Amino acid sequence: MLLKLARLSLWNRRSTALLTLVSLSLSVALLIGIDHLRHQARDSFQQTLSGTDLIVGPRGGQTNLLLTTVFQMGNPTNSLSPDSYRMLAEHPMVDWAVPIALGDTLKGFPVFATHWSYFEHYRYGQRQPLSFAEGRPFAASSDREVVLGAAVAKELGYELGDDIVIAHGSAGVSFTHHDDHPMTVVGLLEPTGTPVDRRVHMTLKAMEALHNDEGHDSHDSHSPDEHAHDHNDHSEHSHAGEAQAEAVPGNINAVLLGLKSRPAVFGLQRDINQYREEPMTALIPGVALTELWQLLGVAENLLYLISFLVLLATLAGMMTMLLASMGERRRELAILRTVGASGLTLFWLIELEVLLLTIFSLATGLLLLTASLAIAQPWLATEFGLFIAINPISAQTAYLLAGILGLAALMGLVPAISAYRRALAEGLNPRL
Amino acid sequence: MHTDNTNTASSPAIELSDLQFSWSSGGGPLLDIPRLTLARGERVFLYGPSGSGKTSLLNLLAGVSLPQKGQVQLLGQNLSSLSDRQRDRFRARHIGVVFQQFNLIPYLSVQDNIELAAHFARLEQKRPELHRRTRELLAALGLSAELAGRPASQLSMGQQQRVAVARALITRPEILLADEPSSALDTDTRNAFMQLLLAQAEASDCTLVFVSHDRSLAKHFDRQLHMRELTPSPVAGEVA
Repeated sequence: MLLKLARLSLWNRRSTALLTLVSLSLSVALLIGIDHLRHQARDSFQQTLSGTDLIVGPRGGQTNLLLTTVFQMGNPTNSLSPDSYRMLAEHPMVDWAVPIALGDTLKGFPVFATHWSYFEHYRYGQRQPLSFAEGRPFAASSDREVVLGAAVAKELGYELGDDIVIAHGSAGVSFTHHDDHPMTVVGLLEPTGTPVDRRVHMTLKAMEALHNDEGHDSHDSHSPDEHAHDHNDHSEHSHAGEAQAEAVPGNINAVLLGLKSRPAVFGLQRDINQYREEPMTALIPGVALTELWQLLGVAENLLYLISFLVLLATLAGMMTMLLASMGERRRELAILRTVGASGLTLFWLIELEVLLLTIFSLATGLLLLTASLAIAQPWLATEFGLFIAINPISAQTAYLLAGILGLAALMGLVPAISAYRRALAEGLNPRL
Repeated sequence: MHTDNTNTASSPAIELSDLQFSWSSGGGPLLDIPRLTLARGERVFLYGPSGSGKTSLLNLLAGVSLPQKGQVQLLGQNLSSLSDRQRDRFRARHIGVVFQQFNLIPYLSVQDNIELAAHFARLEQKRPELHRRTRELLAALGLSAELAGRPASQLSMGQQQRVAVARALITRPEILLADEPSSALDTDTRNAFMQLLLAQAEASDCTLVFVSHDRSLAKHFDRQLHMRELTPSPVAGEVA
C-alpha cells in the first residue's frame, strides 16, 4: 500500500519527478560511464603490447615514440637509418628485431609497414600471438600484398583478394592517391582489441614502392615499364639481403626488439640511448605504458571526481524538489495522519519515493549508457583506437549502483525527516 | 494488541477530565474542561464560532495532540499512556474523521482512498470482505459502484464528502469525529448529506461528535454542547 502510495504520489507530480529522473539518469550514466571507460581504458592499455622488450626510435620523447609506434597516434617526425637497424638487429643481446615504418593511411587507418617476422614476434594481452582469420602473412619480398587488422577489414568491407589503394599522409582524405600501385589483400587478422586491429600491414618495400610511385606520378609521364623495373630492383635487393640480418629498403621509424635475456634490457637501453653513430631513444614498453597511464590517470581521476560531484548536485536537486513538494503536500500528509499513519510511516513514504526515483534513474541511466556506448563504440575505435566493451555492468558497477542508492537514501533523509516532524507538529487539518 | 483489550463495553466512549490544553506553553489555556463524558452511541452537536478551540479539541480527541494537563480517555483507554505509534494505531482502529473538505487524496481512486484507512487499521487481510463492505458503504451513501474506480479529484464536493464518510466508517470505528463536514455543501446537498451521515452513524453504532458553527443543524442531535462550556471563562484567559 505504501509502495502504491509512493508510486501514485510521484505520478501525480510527474512533471517535476520526470525532470529529476532525467537529470539523475544523466548523472548516473555519466558516473558509471566514466568509471567504465577508465577501467576499459586501463585494460585496453595494458593489453596493447607484450613480449617486446624494447622499442627503439630516433631521439625524441619516450611518450611520443610510444604513441606513434604502439598506438599510431601522431606522425613520426624522424627516422632511423638502415645502418642503425642493422646494428640493432645484429647486436649480440638481441634475439629478434622487427622494423616499422609509419606515416601512410588507408581511408584513415594507419599503414604499418614492417617485416614478415612481425607476425611471429608481436604479442599482445597475455603474450598472445597474432592469428589469422583468413589468408596468410604477406610474402617477405612482396610489395603488393597487404594484411588487414580486423577493424579495418570490417569497417571498410575488404575481403581476401580485394585490391586497395593507399593514400600518403595520415589524414583520412588525401589528394595524393597512389593510384598506380594497387595492392592486394592476402590476409585478415583475428580481432585483438588492440591497435593491431586498425593497422594495414605491408612490407617496408611496399611502402617504399608507394613513395617512389608518388614521386614519379607527380611528373605524369611514366610508362608502366619503368614501374615494373622499379619493382624488380627492389625484389633483387631484398633477396640479396635476406641471407644475413635482412636489410631494410629505406629509412624506418622504429624497431621492436626482443632480447635473448630479459635482465639485459636496462643495460641495452642505456647503450642505445648513448649510441654515438646516430641519436636514438630506447624505451621499455611496460614501463612507458605505466608512466603514460599515470599521466592520464590524473585527468581520469579528476573526471571521475567531477562526475561524482555532478551526481551529488543532482541528488541535492532531488532533495530540493522533494522538500519543495512538502508544502503542497501538507494536506496529503494530514489526510494520511487522519486515517492513522504514524510520523514514521510518512518518513518511510518519502524515503520510498526517493528510492523509487533513484532505482528508476539507475535503470534508465544504465540503459542510456549502454545505448550510447553501442553508438559511440565504432567511433571511439576509429577515432581514438579505444576498444570499449558495450556492457558497462560489472561487479564493480554493482557496488557503485548500491553506493548511489545509499547516497540517495541518505539525501532523502532531509525531506523524510521534514515530513516526519511536520506530521507531529501539525494537527489533523492544517489551515492553509 | 493491548489497545484493543481496554475498551470494555461499559466504559464511556469519551471521557475528559481536568483537561487543559494550549498551543504555546507561555499562553493561557485554550481549552479548560473539568469533566466531559460522552456515552457510547451518543450523538453530540458541538457548537462554536471559529477560533474557539474546536480544531484543538478534535486533535485531542483524535490523539494527534496531547493535553498539557488532565486526561483524554477514549473507550476506557488513556491516550497519554500510549506511545505515539500506539496512538496512531488507536486512531486508525477506533476513530473516523471527516473534515469540511480535503478529506481524500486526490490522485487515489475512491476505492483506494477508502481502503487506505483499512490498511492503516490493519484490516486488509480480508480483502474480498473489505471490497464488499466498501461497495455496501458507497451504495448506502448513495454513490454508484462505478465511482469506486475514479480518482477522488474527479468527484463533486458532495460526492467527496460522502466518500469521506465511507472512508471514516470502513474500519467500523466506535467514534466518528466530524468537523464542519457539511458546510462546504449547498443546502439541498447538505440535507441529504446530514441524513446519510446520521443514518450511517446509527447503523454503525458510532459515537458521533459533530462540530459546526451552523446552529440549524443542532436539531438532528441528542445533545448540544457549546464551546464556551469547554473554554476558560473570559476572566481567566483571553479567548477569541
